Parts: sequence; C-alpha cells; structure tokens
Amino acid sequence: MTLPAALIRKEFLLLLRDRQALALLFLLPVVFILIMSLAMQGSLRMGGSTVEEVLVTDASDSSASRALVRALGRAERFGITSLPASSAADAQARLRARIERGEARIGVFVPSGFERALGRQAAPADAHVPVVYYAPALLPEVRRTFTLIAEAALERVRVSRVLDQAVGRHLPDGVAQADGGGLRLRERVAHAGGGEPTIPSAVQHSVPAWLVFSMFFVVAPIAASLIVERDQGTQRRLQQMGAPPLWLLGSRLVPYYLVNMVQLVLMLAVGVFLVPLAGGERLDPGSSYIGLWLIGSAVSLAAVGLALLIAAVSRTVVQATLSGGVFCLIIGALGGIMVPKAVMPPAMQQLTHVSPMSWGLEGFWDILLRYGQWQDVLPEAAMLAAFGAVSWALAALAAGRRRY
Amino acid sequence: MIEVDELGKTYPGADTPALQGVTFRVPEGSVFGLLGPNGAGKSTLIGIVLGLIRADRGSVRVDGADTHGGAVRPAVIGMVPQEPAFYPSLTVRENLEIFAAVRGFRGRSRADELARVADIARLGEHMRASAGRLSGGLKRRLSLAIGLLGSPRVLCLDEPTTGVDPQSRRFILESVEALAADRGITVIYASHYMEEVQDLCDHLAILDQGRLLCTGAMADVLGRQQRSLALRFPAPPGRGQLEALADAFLVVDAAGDTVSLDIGDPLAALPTLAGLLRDNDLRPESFHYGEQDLEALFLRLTGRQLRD
Repeated sequence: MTLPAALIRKEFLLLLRDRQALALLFLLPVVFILIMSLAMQGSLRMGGSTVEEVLVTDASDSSASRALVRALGRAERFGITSLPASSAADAQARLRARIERGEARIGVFVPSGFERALGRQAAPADAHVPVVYYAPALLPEVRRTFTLIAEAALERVRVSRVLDQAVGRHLPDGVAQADGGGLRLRERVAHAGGGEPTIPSAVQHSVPAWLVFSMFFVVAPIAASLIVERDQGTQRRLQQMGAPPLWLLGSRLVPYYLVNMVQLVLMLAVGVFLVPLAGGERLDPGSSYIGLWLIGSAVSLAAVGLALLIAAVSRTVVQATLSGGVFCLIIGALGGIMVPKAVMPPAMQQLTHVSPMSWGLEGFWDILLRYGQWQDVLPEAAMLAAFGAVSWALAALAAGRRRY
Repeated sequence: MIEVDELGKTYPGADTPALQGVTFRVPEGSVFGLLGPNGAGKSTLIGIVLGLIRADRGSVRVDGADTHGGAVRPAVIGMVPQEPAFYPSLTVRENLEIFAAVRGFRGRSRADELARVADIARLGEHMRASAGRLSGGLKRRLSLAIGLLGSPRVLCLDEPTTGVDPQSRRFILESVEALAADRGITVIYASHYMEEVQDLCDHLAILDQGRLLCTGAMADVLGRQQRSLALRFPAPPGRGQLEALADAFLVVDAAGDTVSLDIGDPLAALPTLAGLLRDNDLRPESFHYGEQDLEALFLRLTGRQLRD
C-alpha cells in the first residue's frame, strides 16, 4: 500500500466508522431537496424593482409592428431593447442565438409579414406570427407574465387595426373581424439542445440549485475532521513520519468525492421519482449523463477544496464548522441558490458570477434546463476545478506554514 | 550523538521567547531527560528536534545532519507525543497499519513490523479493540508502538506518562529503559515529573522559561548538589538570624523551620557555621547534608518548586 493509498484508506475507514454522520450526509440532502422542491414550486415570483430586458427584432417595420413594440414597452418591469433587422431570416437566427447565449432572457421577433397577417380573416401562416424566445433559466412566473402582456398587446394592436378599418379609413375587401382569425403568439424556449422541449417547470429550476448547495454540505465535516486530526496531534505525527501536507489534505478528496456522487444520484432520483409521488412536477434529468457527472465532479472538487482551505485557516472545530456553514450560506445566497438570480437587482446579478455555487448552478442548468451536452458544461467545470485546486494548494501552503 | 546548538525560537505574537540560546549534547544510546515546568520550552525543543517546528536561530544535528532541510530521514526519529495522536474510531491494528504504511512498510514486512511493535508494547491481545475504548495506559502503549514503527534510532517522548495509572506508568518507564539498554535507541524524555527523570535518565537538561539552567550526566548534575546542607530548627528562624546566615553562606531555601545552605567545602565551612549558630542562638534539631534529588536542584536553580 503506497502512502496516498494508505491515507485514502484511512479516510474511508474514518468515514465508514462514523455511520451516523455518513447517514446524515446522504439523508439530509434528500430531505432538503424534497422539501425545497415541493415548497418552491409555486413560490417563484418576480422581484419588486427588477427590470427584465426584452430584445426585440422588428422585421416587419410597419405601423402595426411599431404599435406592438410600443405596447410591449409600456409594460412595467420589462425593458425593450430594439435590435436592427437586416434580413428577416438572419435577424431571427441572431436573436435566438443571443437568447441561447444568455445575453437576455426574453426575445421577441416580429416577422415581415406581420402587418398583412393582422388584416386577414383566416388564421395566418406561422411565418407571419410574432415569436417570443425565452431562455430556459427564466422563471416560469416571469415567462407566464410576459406571455400575457405580449398577447394583450397583440390583441390591442389587432383591435385598433380592425377599428381603423371599420371606420372606413383604409377599408379593404375581406376585412378581419375583431373576434376572428385568432392571432396567437408562438412561444419558444431557446436552448442549445434544439428541438421543441416542454417549458421548464419550477422543479427543473430549483432542484439544480439545492443540489449544488447540498453537495457543499461536506465542507463542515471535512473541515472539522481536519481540525480534530490536528488537535489530537495525529497530523503532526503523520507529517513527522514523512507524509507531505499536500497528501494529508488530498486524501480527503476520494472518499468525499464518492459521497458527493452518491448525493448527486440520490438527489436527482428524488427529483425524478419522489417529488412526483409527493404531488410535485417531475424532474427531467436531461440527455447528458456525462455532462451531469462532469459538473457534479467539478462541484465536488470545489467543495472539498473549500473545506480544506477553511480547515487550514481555522483554529478550532467550532470555528471550522461555523465558518464552513456560514461561508456556504453566503456563497449560496450570492450564487442565486437562496434567491433566484432572475429576481435580483442587476448589480447583484453581476455579483453572482463570483460564487462557485453560481458556476455549479449554471453547469447543471446547461444540462437540465438548456438540454446541452457535456461540452456545454466545460467552462463552468473548469472554473470549479480551478477553484478547488487553488483552494487545495493554499490549504497545503497554510498547513506547511503551521510548522512555524 | 544529537547536538543542540544555540537554539532560539519566538512564536509569532509572543512576548517572550520559547527558547533562547539552548545548547547541549545527547550522547548516543543515552536516556536523556528534558526537565522543566509547563511552558519551559520542552515541547518546542522536541518539535524542533523532530523537524516539525522551525527554529529562529541555532541548529539541531543528528549524527552531523541538520534535522531541517531533509538531511535526516523521518525514519531516523520516532515520536510519542503528549496527545494520543492516533485515530480513536479505528482499531489498534488499523491504526498501526496506517502508520506503518506511512513509514513505507508494505505487504509481509508490514505484518512483521506490526507484530514486532505490538510485542514491545504488549498490545497483542488488543489488536482488534477500538483505540478510543482502550484504557489510558493502553492508549499510551499504542502511541509508543506507533513511535517505534520503522525502528527509529532516536525516540522523542513528550510527557508520556501524564494521566496514566501507576501500573502503566511503570510499564512505559521499563519499556523506555529496555529500548535504550537492549536496542541502543537514544531516548529524549521530556517530563515535569522529577522522580521519573531521576530514576530513568542518565543525562538531563533542565529548562525554565526557555532557558537552559543546567545539563550533563545525571550523576554529575546531582553531585553538584552535595554542597547543600539542610538545617531543621524547632521553630522558623527570625529575620535577623536568617540574614546572619545569608551573610556567610548562600541560602538555597528557607521554608518554615528548614533552611538549606550552600556551604561549599564542608570541612572548611563547619567552624564558621558553628560560630554563626552559636552567636545567633540557633540550635538545629537535625541536619541533612547533600540533598541528592532533582527537586532540590530545581529549587536551587530557579528558586521555585517545579509544580508552581
């Protein structure tokens, strides 16, 4: 048995001996995610002062389309940004791409044939009907609100048009009636996976958030176990016997990585099987299990790294558990776990980018909301892995310095 | 041979140094006592010898190689720290296996090494027991066994008998004695139990407040005490009487009815002393010449009891 193998075996034995703690590590996230998924499914609402940016491409450039855009602009909490429309097909693709990239969460495309379609009695062709693109990360409540506003605006423009025609100013043959023709918006979710998936449920939003948060539950036990090892003089003895600090710390990675992986599977299983049984919506696990594993592994590396760093700078078990817990709460709040990013003020939304939990959340959303593939999670996974590695190195440096 | 030279250490933020200018020699195969009260600097000194604490000044060399900078292989020095320093939730065997693996033992050689140290520490029948459930004495024996893994040439024990029952204490002392006598291991034994150090060690260094007060072979150090004369009076002497004695001799101690004097050459000092006692109306009930224990020596060197 080599030195790393001996240290890893030691960690496994210590973990398995404390069965109560191990059970809690699995049980708590399961209970937590079940409760939060059920509790949050109807409670996501728009924040008070948040203005959601709406990108609009008006390929019709007609009096009717301009009236529609004006009507949309009057809605509270939605801010219109008009994009230039060079050619209809290209403009629509570019708008969709911007929503996919997350530059904005709502996009409205008004096609060139919109005004003509508005005047017809028969149902218009799809190509002439305005399309609204929603980002998967948009809260369902916000999406529903905007859909209602947009449909009302569309209806208002159509009625105005009919009234204009009725008073005979531009009365052509075959005038559309106010109650006929039924011009409805087309809703689309713009995501990397293509196709026409269903609109994401609240469970689809909340499960990834609490999953990331729960994976960070390992921070406190890892940090506490390191402090205990230090207080009992065992760490000094191991160091004196020739075990380098980097290995002493790193030996935690393997067992707690496996704990995190079991947590990941359990929590996804809760979302898929248990939440529907309890009356909630079923979690769709997406189509890339490799992507889930990749981002889960990266979150685990970041959590273990953070635990090592907290242990290295803490002097007592109380300090370690307290600072570990509070730090996780802070990066959770900052990362859009406690409060969805979408309802945060713009400045706070920018701040979410500094939180490793936000990177993890985005990574899981890549798979569970945007229906991406494993390649899509690589940026977030790389950031999390770098965070974990830097934390681990800093912790080893601090442990080395503890030789005074 | 372990050479400690001009060792100095001040911890960050501390007002006073933990060690200052400590110099002594530990002969090979000796049982070397490090004696001093809590806070004297014993654990810091042992930490530096083990290469776990970096000294600000000076050096520690084992057979000419500095303990810092990797010149001394970790296997050369074993440690039995003050704390348990093992995993209470694991069994005795699991603990020994892990530490043996860290020492570099694999496969069959590891099993042999486990059997060897378990035999020395007489842990054979406790190998399957949970380490956390062992008695205080057995825990110390486990700690000793871990310290002996890899047959170190130097073994540092830091207060190994603190809080153990007399039987286990005896066992540890006998084991240490045997390790030096039978296996030629050089032992550095830090303690604040003077009688233990006096019984066990053949060399010693006395530390107080980070300073070295005296060092050398036990017999030499205690021999220096033989100039001391303890006089016991029926009642505590008065201030004037004590001042008269102090004018002629160094008063080592004056507690209650007993006064200890450093009389130097006894034959030369006796006429002066007899005259002083007569002139000051001091009539001792009894006297004792040459207090041969470390307690008196420590008192003499520091003016304080060791357990103050």
